[in-house]
Amino acid sequence: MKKIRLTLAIFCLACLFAGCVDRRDIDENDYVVGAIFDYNTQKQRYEVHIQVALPEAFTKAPGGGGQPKETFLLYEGEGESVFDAIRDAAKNAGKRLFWAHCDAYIVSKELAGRGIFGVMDILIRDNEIRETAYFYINDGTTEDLLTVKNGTEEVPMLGLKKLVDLGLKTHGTTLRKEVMDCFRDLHMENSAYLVPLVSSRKPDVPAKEAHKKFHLTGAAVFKKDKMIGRLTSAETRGYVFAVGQIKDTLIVGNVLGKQVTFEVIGSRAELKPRIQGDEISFTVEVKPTINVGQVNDPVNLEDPRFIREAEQAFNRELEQEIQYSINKAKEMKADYFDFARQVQLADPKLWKQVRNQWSEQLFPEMDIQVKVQSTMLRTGLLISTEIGGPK
Amino acid sequence: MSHLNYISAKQAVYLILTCILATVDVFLPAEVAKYAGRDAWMSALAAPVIGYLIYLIIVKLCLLFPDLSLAGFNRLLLGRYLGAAVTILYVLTFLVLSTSAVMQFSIIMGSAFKPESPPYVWHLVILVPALYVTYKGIAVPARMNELLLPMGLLLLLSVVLLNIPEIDLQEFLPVFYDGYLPPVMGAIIMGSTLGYSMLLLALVPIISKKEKLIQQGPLAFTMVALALLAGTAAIGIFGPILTSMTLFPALQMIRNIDIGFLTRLDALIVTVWYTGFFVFLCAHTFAAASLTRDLFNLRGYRFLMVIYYILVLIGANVYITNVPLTRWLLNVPLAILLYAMALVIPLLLYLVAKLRGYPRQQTK
Repeated sequence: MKKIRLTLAIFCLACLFAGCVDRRDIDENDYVVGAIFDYNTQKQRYEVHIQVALPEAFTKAPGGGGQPKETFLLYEGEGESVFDAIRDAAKNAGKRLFWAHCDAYIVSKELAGRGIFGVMDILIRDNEIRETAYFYINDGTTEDLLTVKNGTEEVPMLGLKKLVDLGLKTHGTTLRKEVMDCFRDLHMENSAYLVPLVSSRKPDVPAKEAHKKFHLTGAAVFKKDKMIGRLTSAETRGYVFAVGQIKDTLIVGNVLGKQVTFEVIGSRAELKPRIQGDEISFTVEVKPTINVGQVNDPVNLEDPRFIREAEQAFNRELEQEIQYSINKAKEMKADYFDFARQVQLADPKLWKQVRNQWSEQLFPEMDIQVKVQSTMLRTGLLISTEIGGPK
Repeated sequence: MSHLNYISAKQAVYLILTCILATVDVFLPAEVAKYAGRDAWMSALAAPVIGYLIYLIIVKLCLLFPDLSLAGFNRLLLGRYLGAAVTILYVLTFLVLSTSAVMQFSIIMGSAFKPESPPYVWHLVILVPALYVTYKGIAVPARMNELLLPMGLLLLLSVVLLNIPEIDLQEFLPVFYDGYLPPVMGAIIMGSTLGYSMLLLALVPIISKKEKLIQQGPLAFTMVALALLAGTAAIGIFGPILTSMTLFPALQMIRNIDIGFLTRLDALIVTVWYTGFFVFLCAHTFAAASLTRDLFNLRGYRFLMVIYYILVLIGANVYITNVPLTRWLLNVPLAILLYAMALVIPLLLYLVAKLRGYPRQQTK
């Protein structure tokens, strides 16, 4: 009797734990790697364009030659809501669309201007979608992005995440925004934030392989769930510096009449509030570490005066760049630097008094000083140069 | 009773700890973020004090009657009928808590992982093994739990550690932004979920070296404090507003981990929840069955276990609540129930026992 009971128990448990519930084989899915959301004003319907990776993208062609293989598919759908459009796109797909590997969500400027709440809601609410995926605003047309062919990636949108990470390490004119970051910013008090812009750019050479490539620079400015403007590359970099997220970038300056390209190799930043009574002002303190990346004329880097002048020239350039970005934020009445939070931390009582006037009155009028204190660390593999040798 | 059916004081405390840990990181972090906001960490530190107080009262009460369960000493203190009525209340509470554990598990699996699967699949996945393990007594799950609890704690700790780069400690500032009341409210809500020490009311006769229960308390509730703090780490990552909006902040924390190849670690938190609810179910249904046996002086409890598991399965499958309502029921109403059953009634029983001069013969 005991054995029968045990056998029955094992049989029941085996049925329950064999992993058959909701079983889905790998070849029954279409793996979404990127999606573009748009709004068609004429039809008044949401549109979605989905890029799906084909297994061929991840397998090496035997021997080489032959027909170029297809590595991705595009599906599109439309509907009364974003979710409806996604399900409409699934009608064209022969397999179930699987979203857990999608790393890029791009929203058109049209839809961003109307409001992205619905998009953010489905991206967070759905259990399959990962909140660590990156979020972008399309700075071009949907067609442009869909016809991009990135040379290094078999499936173009797979390269976008790497492009952001690389951008932060090379030019700093873009920023990283995960879906969850965006959703959090959306719900903040005095919600204002930036989302990176993505567009496509075709090399201006008549080569056969000169395909359109993704171009990642600049940022869209959001207030609550609506896009209200955009920042240029330099303004975006000014923001990235001020919030201490810069990793590496180049700034070209003029030192004693000689052009020097500075390479920033790290930076710290602090937004320091000064509160006197009801008067609030700020100092943005930025402390970058720089190298001499390139000089256009011979220089003597052993001269301490030149190094000092170089640091000051760099400081002036960067102060101007950050100040432009701050002025742009004031113009748009969008505190995406989050000065508000610093006031809340410094003087919670005062913040409670001013929170309702912050975006519209206080922030645009506020005195914000920028103070850059750079430190020149290295000069590359050269010290002093002089054409024709030392005299 | 065979010596195999006895559990040590440490095993009993581990059972209580697992029951607490199973539930405090499901809906609670979001609820506490709603009440206490950025001050949730203070609630997390204050709540274990409430939990320890509850534990101490229950242990003191149980040690007055070391060989009797609640059903036995209720009869002595409150008389046959009132005592029986109170015992039945506890049996019902244990069954309601078991049902809520099963429902929470199916809500987690249905909402976050397998929305297409019918809930009864998840009910069976946890109920059948729990029945199988508990059928011969609580000693087996208690021994299992000696492995499961450290593993669960380690996994919880690793979730927080892997999120450290994302945690912004400034999110916990300024302190007392909305006054002293929010963290107190948070602590009261959190403190109620630490009332699972009432399991001891049913388990005490089968605990060997019961006096050690007193010594185990402080360390146990220090661990609870750490687990509660781990839950509030979500505020450091997502801020208080977003944390209060999400259904499972702990799950969001683990989905947020993206360190090179260390990503998509959702299975870790499912392991914590599954093992936690599994032990929760074993302990609470056993408590209900053993109290019923003691109340009616029955010979065994096994057939009661089967009946109770069937009742829990039926209860979990009756669609009388949806997710928002379940979440609400597990908030203030559950807190009231747990405070009544784990604090108020045991405290009254303890006072009655003291007034009536207990312990009497028990000292011999």
